[in-house]
Amino acid sequence: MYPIATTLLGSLYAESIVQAGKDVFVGFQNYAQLFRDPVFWQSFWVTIRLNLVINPLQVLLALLLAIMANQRLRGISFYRLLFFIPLGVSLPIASILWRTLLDPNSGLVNSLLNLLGISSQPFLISKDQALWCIVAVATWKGVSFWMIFLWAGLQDIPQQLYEAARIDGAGRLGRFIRITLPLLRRPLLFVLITDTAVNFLLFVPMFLLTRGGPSYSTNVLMYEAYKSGFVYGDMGRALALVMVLLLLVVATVAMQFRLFSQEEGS
Amino acid sequence: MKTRFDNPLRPQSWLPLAWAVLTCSLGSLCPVYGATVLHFMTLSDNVWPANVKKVIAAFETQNPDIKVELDTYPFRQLFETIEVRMKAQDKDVDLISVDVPLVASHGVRGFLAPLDQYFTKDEIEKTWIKASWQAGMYDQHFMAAPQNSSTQFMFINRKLFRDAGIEPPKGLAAGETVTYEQVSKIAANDRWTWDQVVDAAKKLTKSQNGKTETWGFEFDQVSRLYQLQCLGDSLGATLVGPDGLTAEGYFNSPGWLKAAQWYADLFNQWKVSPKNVTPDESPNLFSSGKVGIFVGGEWNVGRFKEAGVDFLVAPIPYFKEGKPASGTGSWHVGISKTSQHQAEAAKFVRFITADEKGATIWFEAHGQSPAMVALWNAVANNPKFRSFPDDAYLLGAYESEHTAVARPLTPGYLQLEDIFASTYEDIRNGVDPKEALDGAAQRLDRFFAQFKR
Repeated sequence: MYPIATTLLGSLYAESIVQAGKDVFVGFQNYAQLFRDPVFWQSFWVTIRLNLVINPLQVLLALLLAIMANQRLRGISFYRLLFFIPLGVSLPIASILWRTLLDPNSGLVNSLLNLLGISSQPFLISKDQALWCIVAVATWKGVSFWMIFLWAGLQDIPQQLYEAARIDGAGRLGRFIRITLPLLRRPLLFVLITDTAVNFLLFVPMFLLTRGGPSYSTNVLMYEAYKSGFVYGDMGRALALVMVLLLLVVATVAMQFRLFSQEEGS
Repeated sequence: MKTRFDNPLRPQSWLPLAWAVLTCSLGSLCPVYGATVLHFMTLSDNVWPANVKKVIAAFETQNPDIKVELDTYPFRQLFETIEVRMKAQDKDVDLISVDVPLVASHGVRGFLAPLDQYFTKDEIEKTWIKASWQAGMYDQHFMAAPQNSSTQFMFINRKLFRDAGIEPPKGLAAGETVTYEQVSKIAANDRWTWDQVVDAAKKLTKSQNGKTETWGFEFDQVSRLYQLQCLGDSLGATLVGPDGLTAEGYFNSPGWLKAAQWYADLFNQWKVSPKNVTPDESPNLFSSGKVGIFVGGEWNVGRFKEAGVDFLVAPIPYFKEGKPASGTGSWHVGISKTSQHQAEAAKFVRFITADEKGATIWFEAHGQSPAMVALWNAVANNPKFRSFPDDAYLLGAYESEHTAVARPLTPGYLQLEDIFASTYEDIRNGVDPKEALDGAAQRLDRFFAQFKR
């Protein structure tokens, strides 16, 4: 609670230049200015759009990979190794790597698209594509991490349940819906909530790849808070942004909890 | 056969190893034992730290009781780190590299200790050129000493011009000697306009299989204020109002709108400049013969010579309806207000900026236009500076005297610099210049409001 209280308190102060940089109490003025700022609202909606896509996408892909990794097939160890490769690459390195791959002039991705007869894409320098490129980079990097938790959950499900269901005539889909999903509820809830919190605070790809651009299309609240605090030296505004972000994360996580508990109840 | 090392528990086995470890540890500690260690927050870009270390080596020989250690950061991160560490009153920072437009911002926020007690007014006026020492003043106090100044040139790849059958502009080239008068004549009468640059750039841009192999034109510090300010200045437009805290009507004035449209057209209409190239990467394009015309800092002269490019140096272009304008101002050195070793730090500031030996080492190593009067006199009197590429300093001297325009004086320079860069990046990537400039001006005014409270 201490960091939250400090953040809240700090958001009520602002640096006064006419008083030689002294912090003065301004009440909720930082919040009032924030809510009047169109850049704040743009960052707010970019953050919402990003999270509406990236969280379900990452959880679904992590589940898919976990199911694939859990198969007892020939050569599965090789695929498991492939799944884990992004885990060994740090997010800054991954971002720089993807920046090279997505270079509109000489990137590998555009060369491959050209081979398929598709024209070169602007990717990170397009305001319509940049956010989705960041979703792709963050998903490539993050999904194998979340897969581990779901894979561990899958291994906890007793095989006898599947065998009994098979004897009772349940198909692949039926076994997945009636056995796998209900018994994977707890790891799924953990992954969904943690993944949501992590993605609301996602910052490195925006910092390294787009600097919030083009046209603020990747300027998420976290990046805006960073810029306010560390580039513009306006710590009061930065802390107000962090408080808004915190409320957003808490509201989203509460909604996810409620959704899962309702399902459990029914 | 058994040896004395066979039993690892016997003293004969581990004593030599322990002795070696102890000796090495003490050996590495000894150079700093008893000495005052100064921490210098500075740039990590390119050869900057290596050149600073040359000055440090000479300083440490003269002052064996003082050691200087570098804390280096890339250009953008340096400003951010200074903000964070100074706001946190970090006592481990003694010396700070200050980009000259930030003197006011750092001064107003109490980041720097005034240097008045270490340099008298008379000494200040005699040591550095007026524009440089004045830029280091804030509120009647001398806050940061000028390490060097800077200027901008147009670099021409002579081979690409020959291949394209284009007559290059008049300039300074290998195998020729010039006097200051001849350089002045070139700068006054033969300076290209931006229209001439675009015409040549179109002919120089070559594509193969849909991919551009050679680009006609490229800026050095793409989309940065320091680099592009010459465009607006050439049209007589300023970025902020006289109070330093008004952007509306200035940042998006007709002059800047014309400059921004021209910049947008380079990438989107005429397609003579590459997109998605960072300021770190752009000089390499010229070094590797991929760019015909490069407008950038004087510090590239040595780099391009070393790369073996066949190039000439010409004055920075201008808009024909305006007047020539070039960038100026560079790095100063200040002392952190929280430093515990301010007197020792002042010794280093004096050595690198005002001492003939230290400042000469810096000038010869880094090659940027000096801020020190004695060094300019040396340039004027030394015949070495009449032949290529050192004659570029003569052109630098002309630009400093006739066309140089300082960056805006505002306590909100950090905001201005950052919003300028993101706005011009957007323009480069195809956003309508008017929409981008109007949005940025409004945003800047909202940020500037914080300096009025």
